[in-house]
Amino acid sequence: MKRLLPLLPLLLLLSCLPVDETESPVPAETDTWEGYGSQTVVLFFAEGGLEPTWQEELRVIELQEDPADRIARVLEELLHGPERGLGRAFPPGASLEHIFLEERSGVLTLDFNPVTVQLLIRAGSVEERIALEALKRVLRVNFPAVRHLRILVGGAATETLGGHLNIARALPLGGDTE
Amino acid sequence: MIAIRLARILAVLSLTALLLLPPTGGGTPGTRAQSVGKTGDTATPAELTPALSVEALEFLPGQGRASRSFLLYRFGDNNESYLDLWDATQILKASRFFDPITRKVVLGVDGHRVKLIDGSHWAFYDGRARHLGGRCRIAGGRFYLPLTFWPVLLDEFPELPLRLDPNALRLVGGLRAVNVHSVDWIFQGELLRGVFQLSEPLTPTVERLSDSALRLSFDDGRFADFNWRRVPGRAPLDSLRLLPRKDGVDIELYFHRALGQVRSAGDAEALTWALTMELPADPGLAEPDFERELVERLPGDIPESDRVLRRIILDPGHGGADTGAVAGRQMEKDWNLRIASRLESFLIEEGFQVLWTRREDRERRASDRVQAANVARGDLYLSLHFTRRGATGAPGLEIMIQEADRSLRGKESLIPWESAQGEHLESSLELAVGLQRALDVLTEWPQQGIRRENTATLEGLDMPALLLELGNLDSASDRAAWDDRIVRDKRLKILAQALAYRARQWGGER
Repeated sequence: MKRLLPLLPLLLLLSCLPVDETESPVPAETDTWEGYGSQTVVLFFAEGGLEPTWQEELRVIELQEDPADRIARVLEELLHGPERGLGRAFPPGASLEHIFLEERSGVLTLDFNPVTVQLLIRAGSVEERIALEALKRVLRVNFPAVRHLRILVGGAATETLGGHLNIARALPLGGDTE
Repeated sequence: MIAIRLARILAVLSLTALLLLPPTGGGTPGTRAQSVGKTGDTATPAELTPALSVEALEFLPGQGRASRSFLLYRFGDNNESYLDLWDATQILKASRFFDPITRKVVLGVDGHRVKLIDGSHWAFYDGRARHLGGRCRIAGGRFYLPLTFWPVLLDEFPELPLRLDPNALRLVGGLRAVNVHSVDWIFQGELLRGVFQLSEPLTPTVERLSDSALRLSFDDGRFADFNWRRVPGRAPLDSLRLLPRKDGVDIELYFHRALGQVRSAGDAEALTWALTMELPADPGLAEPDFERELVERLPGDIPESDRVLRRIILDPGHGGADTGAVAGRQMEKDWNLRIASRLESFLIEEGFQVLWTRREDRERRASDRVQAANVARGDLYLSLHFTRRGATGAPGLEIMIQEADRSLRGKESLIPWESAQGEHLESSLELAVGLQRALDVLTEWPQQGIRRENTATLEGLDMPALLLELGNLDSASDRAAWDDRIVRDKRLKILAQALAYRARQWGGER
């Protein structure tokens, strides 16, 4: 133990060094619906096409008490797009009509405007994949209590959001973000 | 502030009173419906019409078998049928509260709480959201529930002493009623035969809705939907027969009684569950698309095919209003069709039989394409696509195969159709690897690897299946390569030859 004493000042110094917050996402602390007011949320945007690199963008936003409202607010930021020069997760014009949250089971239902589908179809399968992946990443990191994501378009179940990937059933949100 | 609060309280009280009071438009539901039409604070009078009456609810033993008639309503802007909240609460013996500010109704049903919202597709059962299939609406100061509310309610609270009997559904006014008067299950060796006797003087026409749904329609507009689950190794409609009788028609459905899939005890119960008559959900979705003849062979007549590659289904992605990716004036749907036409000739040269999911510029849902391919009993499904990866993005071919979906596990002893592709993933991967190796060595076509994705395009296919992203529409070099006849033909010829090589390995005589 005494041998480690000389290292103590070095450790203290290291602990005082500034941390680059943009490199470490701030996930929600628990898988409950707690946490509102002024919050730091993590958004994900992709760089590159076929095998994109995912970049995190931190934003401080005011969140309401109602968990569904909180999710709506965060997804609004995601749909709005990145503040720095990253690729968008969704094409401009994409929007959500409704959000429904089953708090007990953790099933989140997002009801997209039909225009979103038209935009994603025209953007191609790579954009469709990025959009879905960005949604899943943002929900996993910021709202770990959401366990399944169900997607509707214009209030109705649909096969795909952009012509390829299957969203007919609820998508599980378990697993890592990488 | 106080004035606003007072106004809100008054509004709550007046509207609550309105809902709690019995209808004032006369004693019969019909006159009540007319009074709804004449008012119109949230809907114009023409929007709501009583379309038909229905007799569909039965009380279970204990309260006797008593059915009740009431009116259904329709709005001008959709085909949904609606119930008046007043009728619903009478039947349910429910308490209710209406909040005009949030436009929410809360029903107290047998100790449970059901929340409904004007304009929403959703009901909240003790806090759990369930999709209703139709929107709740307010019109003329009254709250209307979509008829689809009932099955969801009874599913949510099975202990309720109330049930919806779809067989008892009588939609008066020249609408739908189909009488299935008996169902028998008969074992014949490895086959299980279900016979539905319809006491109908008319012979129905049969529309195939999906791989597991069938619609019988009568000339007078009535119809009934049948749904069942897939039995391994069999396409359901391979085993369907219609046998006209003097006073109706028998429908025979044959199932393969695979060992371990169907138990001897409780078979009839399990399969009655699997093959149930359901309320017609959305008539607008029925696209009569029986391109192939309705096969009337018995399952035993169909030879088992194992790892054979003779018949290829070409699926040019997108079509019609579904343009697919659009880069400037280039539309993916056109490229897919053009390349598919050229590929067909090389496949035929190699001795393959080629069938198509679309040959012209028309929109078709993924599930319809899958269904047609399954009925045609293809040995390989090739879905052709282009995509956009940016002007400087990667050019070339990316192959997708279906990702195994662990959530698709069979319920009870039967397996859902959607999981069919799971049995072919190994063969799909083998084909993808073989194709990519051959194309990489023998052509200059850049290869972008193989990816597993949960696609709607490949789900439910009962054959090996590949989705080929042939190129990047944003890339000028990629487009130029495909416009060059020599380059294009070389790529497609090698592709066809690589498949022929695999077919020989698999031992199929073509």
